[in-house]
Amino acid sequence: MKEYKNIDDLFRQGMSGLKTEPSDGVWKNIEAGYFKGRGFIVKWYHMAALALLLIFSGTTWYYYSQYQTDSDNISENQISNQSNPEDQNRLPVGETEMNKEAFSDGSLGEDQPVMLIAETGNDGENISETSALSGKDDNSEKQNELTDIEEEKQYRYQSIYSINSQSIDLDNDAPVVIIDPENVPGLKEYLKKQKHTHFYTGASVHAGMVYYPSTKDQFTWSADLAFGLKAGKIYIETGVGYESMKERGTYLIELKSYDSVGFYNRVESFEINSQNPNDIIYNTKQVAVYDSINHYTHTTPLFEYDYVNVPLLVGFRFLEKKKFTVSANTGVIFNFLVQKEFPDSDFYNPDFTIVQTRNVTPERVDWNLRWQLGLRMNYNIVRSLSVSAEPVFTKYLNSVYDTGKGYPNVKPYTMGVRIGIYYGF
Amino acid sequence: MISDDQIIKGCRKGKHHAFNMLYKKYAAIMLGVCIRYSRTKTEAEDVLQEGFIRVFNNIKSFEGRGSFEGWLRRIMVNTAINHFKASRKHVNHDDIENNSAAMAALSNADDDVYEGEFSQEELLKMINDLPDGYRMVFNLYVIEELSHKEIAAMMEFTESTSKSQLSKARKWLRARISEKQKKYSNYERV
Repeated sequence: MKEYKNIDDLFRQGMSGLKTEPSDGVWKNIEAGYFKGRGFIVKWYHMAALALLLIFSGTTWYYYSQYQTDSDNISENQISNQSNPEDQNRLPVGETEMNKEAFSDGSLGEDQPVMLIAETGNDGENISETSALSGKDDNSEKQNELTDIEEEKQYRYQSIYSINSQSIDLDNDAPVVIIDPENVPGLKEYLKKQKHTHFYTGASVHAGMVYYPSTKDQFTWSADLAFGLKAGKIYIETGVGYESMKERGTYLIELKSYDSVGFYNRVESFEINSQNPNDIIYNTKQVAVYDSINHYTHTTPLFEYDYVNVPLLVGFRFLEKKKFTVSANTGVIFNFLVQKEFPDSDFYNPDFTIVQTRNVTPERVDWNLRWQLGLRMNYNIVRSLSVSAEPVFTKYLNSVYDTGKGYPNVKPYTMGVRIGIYYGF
Repeated sequence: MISDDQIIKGCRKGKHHAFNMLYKKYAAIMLGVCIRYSRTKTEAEDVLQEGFIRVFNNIKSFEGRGSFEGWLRRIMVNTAINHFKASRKHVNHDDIENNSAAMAALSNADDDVYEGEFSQEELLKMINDLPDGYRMVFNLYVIEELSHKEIAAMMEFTESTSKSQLSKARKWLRARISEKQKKYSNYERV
C-alpha cells in the first residue's frame, strides 16, 4: 500500500501527469474564435468549385476536339471527292493563279474561301510547308488515295480569315485558287465555323501597384492561366491565377520603463531650534521615486496577402491586322484570400521592457470582387501562337477590410501590365 | 516528431497547421491543468479554449527562456484564475462557513494523512468538489508550488487569507478521504 508523507504529497503525486482528452468541439471553437477573419481555410466547397471549373474546362476541350475532328473530316471528304473525276462537285483542276494583290489589299471578301496548293514530288512526298499549314500528317493514307493529277498537289481549304491568322507569306507560298463554297457541300458551314468559333488558352504574368487610400501604395504581382472562347470579334475568357500583394500592417507595442515619477524630502536628522526651543528643524534630503511607467509605440512592417483569382471577362477585338490585333476587355475577378504572412514586430530597445505586442492591422475579408478593364495587344508569332501586352486597371467592388468588425470600408484600385502568351486551337 | 521550436516558428508565421499541431500536442495535458481548477469538464474546456486563444495571440512574446510547456501551463493557470474571478462576481457562493454540516465534518476530520490507493479520478473528483476559493489556493500552493505571497498577489487577497483557505482546503480533503476509507473498510468487513 502506498504511503504519503502528508495530504499535499498525496494530491501532488496523484495529480502528476494528469491528462484529459478534450471534446471535438473545443478545437472548432478555438478556430472560430482565433482564425475568423485571419485567413482562408480551404473548405470542401472551395475544392468543389475548383473541381467544377476543371471539369468544365476538360469537357469543353473534349467536345472541341470532337468538333475539330468533324471539321477535318469535312475537309478530307472534299479532298477525296475531288479525286473522282466524275464527281459533279469536283473542283476545277485548272487552277488560276490568284491576283495576289487583290488578296493583299482586301478586295476579296472574308467569306470567300481560297485553296492553297503546293506541289509534291513524283513519289508522293509532301512538301512540308503546306503540311505544316494544314496540320496534316505528311504520310497520311488519304493522300495516297488521290488521283494521278491530285497526287502532284495537295488541296487544303482555307478562308482568308484563317490564312491571315497563319501569317502566310504570299510572295513565297504556292499559288491560290478562288473557290465558290456553294459548289462544295458542307464547306460553307465548315468555313463559317472555322472563322467564328475558336478556343484558346494562355498563360500570363501581371505586375502592378495597389493604391490604398489610407496606407502607402504597394507592389502586386500575379501568375495566371486563361481559357477562352472566341466567336468572331468577341471573346469570353476565364481562368485561374495566384496573386500576391502587400500592405503596411500595424503593431501596437506596450512598453514599460523604470523611470522617476517624482521625489520626496526624506528627513535625515532633526534638531531643536536654539532660537526657539518649541521649534524643531528637520534636515531633509530630496529622494527621487522610481516606478514602472507604461509607454506605447507602434511598428509598421509589410504584411503579405496571397489570393487565388478567378476572372470572368468579355472582350472585343476592334482592330485586326495580319499579325497584330487589339482588343478591349472588361469583367469581374473573384479573389479568394488563401494565405497571410505577418512578420514579427522588429521593435527593440534595451531601455524598455515589452509588456505586450498587439496586431491592430484591420482584418481582411475572405473574398473580394474586382472590376477589370484591359487593353490587350496581340502579336502573332506563328500559326495559332501569339504574345500579348496588356495594361490592366482593376477596382475593388467590396471592401478589403472586414467592415462587420468595425474596420473601415477600403476599396483600393490597381494598375499594372500583363504579359501573356496564348495558343489558339 | 516535430519539435516545439518548429511549431512555435510556424505559429509565429501564422500557419494554420502549426497552430493545429500545437493544440494536438498539448491539449490533453493543458486540459489536465484546467480541470483541476474547475468544477466540471465543460467548465475546464471553456478555460482551455480561452487559454489557447491567449497562447496563439501571445506566441510571439515567448522568448524561449524556460520550457514551452511551463509557459503554456502558466497561461492556463492565469486563465483559470481570471475565469474564477469573473464568475465569483456573479455567482452566490455557499461559503463553507455558512454550512454548519460541512463545518462539523471538518472539525471531526483527522489531521493525519491516510495510507491507501486512490485513483487519479477519485482525487480529481475531490478537488473538483472543493469550494471554489479553496480549490484555487490548494492547486496554486500544492500543485503549482507557489508561495502564499505569490498566491495573494494573483488572487488579490492577503497572505493570511491564502493560508486560511489552504488550511480549510486540507481539512475538507482529509474529511473526504476519511469518509471514503471508512466506506471501503465497511465493504471489507462484509
